[in-house]
Amino acid sequence: MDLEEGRERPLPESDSGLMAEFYGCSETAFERLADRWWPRLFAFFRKLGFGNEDAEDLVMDSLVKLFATKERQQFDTSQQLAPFLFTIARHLAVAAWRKRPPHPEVPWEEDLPLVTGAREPESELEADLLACVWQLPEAELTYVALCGRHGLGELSHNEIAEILDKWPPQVTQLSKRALTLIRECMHGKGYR
Amino acid sequence: MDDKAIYRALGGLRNRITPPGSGDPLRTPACLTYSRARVLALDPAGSTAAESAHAAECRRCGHLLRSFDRQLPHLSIWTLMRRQLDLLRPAEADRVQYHLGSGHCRECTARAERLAGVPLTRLQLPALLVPPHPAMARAAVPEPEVLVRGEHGDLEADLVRDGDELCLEVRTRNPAHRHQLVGYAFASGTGEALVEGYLVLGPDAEEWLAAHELIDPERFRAAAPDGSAALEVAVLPPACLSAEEWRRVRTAAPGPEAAEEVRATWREFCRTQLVVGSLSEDALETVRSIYTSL
Repeated sequence: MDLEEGRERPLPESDSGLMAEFYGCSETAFERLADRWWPRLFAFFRKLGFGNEDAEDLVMDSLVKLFATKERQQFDTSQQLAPFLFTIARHLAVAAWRKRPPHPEVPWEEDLPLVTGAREPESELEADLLACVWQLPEAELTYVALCGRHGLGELSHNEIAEILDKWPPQVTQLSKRALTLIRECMHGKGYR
Repeated sequence: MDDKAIYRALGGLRNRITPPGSGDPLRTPACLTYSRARVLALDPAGSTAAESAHAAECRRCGHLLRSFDRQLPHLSIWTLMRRQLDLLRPAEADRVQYHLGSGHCRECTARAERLAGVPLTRLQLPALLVPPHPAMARAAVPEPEVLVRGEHGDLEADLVRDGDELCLEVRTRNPAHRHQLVGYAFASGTGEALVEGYLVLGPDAEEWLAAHELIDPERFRAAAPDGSAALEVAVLPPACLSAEEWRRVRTAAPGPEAAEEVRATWREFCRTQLVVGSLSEDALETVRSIYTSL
C-alpha cells in the first residue's frame, strides 16, 4: 500500500478504493460497488426476517444512503467499508421495524433461489431454527445475521462490535445470550 | 439440542444462503444509474420523457427516486450564507459545486435566492473561548465575562462566560425582528457547524428584543477542543430552512419547563408562520407540532 498524506491509500479495486474513486470523480465506481454489495445486503436483510420486496427496498435505501455520504464526504476511505455499510443497513432495518414489525412467517424457501441460485429442500429443523433466530431481540438478531463463525453472516466479532457500537467483549456476551435464547426456543419446539 | 448442534445447523444455513455472484437482479438496461437518480431527485424537471415514463412503471427506479428524495442531505443555511459572502473554504466550496453545480438542486437554488441580502453576523472567537473545567473556572473567573461581542446591521450578539457556563445573547432594537427566528452556529475552520441552535427574539428591557441560550460547554469543548471556531448569527427567513433544519428547530423549541415568556415568544412565531402560510406543507406541519406543544 502507498502512503498519501500519512494515510494508507486503498487498493484501487477494493471497496474503499472504489469509494475513493467515487468521491474523486468516477460515479461508475459507485455502480461497480453497488453491484458488488447488492447480494450481500439482500442476504443480510433476508436473514433479519424481511420478505423479498422489503429486503430489495432496504438494499436500495442502504446504497442510496451510501451514495449520499458523498455530499458531506462522511466515509473515511482509509477505513473498511463493510462495517460502515452494515451500520447503515442495520439502522435502516431498525427504522423499518419501528414502522412495521417483520413477518417471521414469511416462507424462507419460497425466496431462497434469489440468494443461493439453486432451490434446495428445506428441513423442518432449519425452518424452526430460523423462526427462533427471528424471535431474538434486535442486537442479538443482528449479531446472528452478521457473525461468520456463530451465525449466518460473514463478519468477525471486531467488525460486528463496530457496527453495534460495542466493545468486542460485549459482542461475546451478545453471542452467548443469542445462543441461550435460540437453545431455549428450540427446546420449546421439542428439540432435545 | 446442545450448543454444538445449534452451531452446526446455523453453519449449514450459512453455507446455503451465502450470496453468490454479484449484481442487482432488478436492474434492466433501461433502468436509472444511482448517479442519474440523484440528479433527477435534486432536479426533477431535468428528467427526459423516456426517464419519466420508465420511472413511473419500474418499481426499482420509482423506489430509487423516492429514496434519494427522502435521504439526500441539502446544503445548510450557513453554507448558503457563506457562499453569498464569498467565505467558503475549499472543501465546502467543493460540496456546494457538487450539490448546486453538477447536481442542479432546485430546492437549494431557491433557498439561496430567498436568502439574498440577509445579513450574517460573524464573530471570530478567541482561542481562550473554550471554558476551563468547572473547578478551575470557579477559581479563575469569579464574574461573568463577555468573551466576544459583535454586531452586523441591527443585530448584536454577546457570548458570555459565567463560571463553567457559556451564554449566548442575541438582541436588536429593530421592531421588525419581533418574534423572528434567529439561528446561531459555531462553525469550524472548514465551515462545518459544530454546535447550532435556534432562538426567537422576544421583548426585553428598554425596548430591546432579545433571546438567550445556555450552551453546554462540554458539548462545545468536545466539538472544538482548540477553540478555533467562528460564531455565526442571523435572523433566518423561515422559508429558507431545509427539512433537516426544521427538525432541529423542532428540537430547539422550549419544553414545558421553560419560562412562560420564552414559550409565549415561540407561540407568536408559530402563529405568524401559520397565518402567513408561505412555508412548505412539511414545514407547516412542524410549526403546528411546535405550536401545540407550547
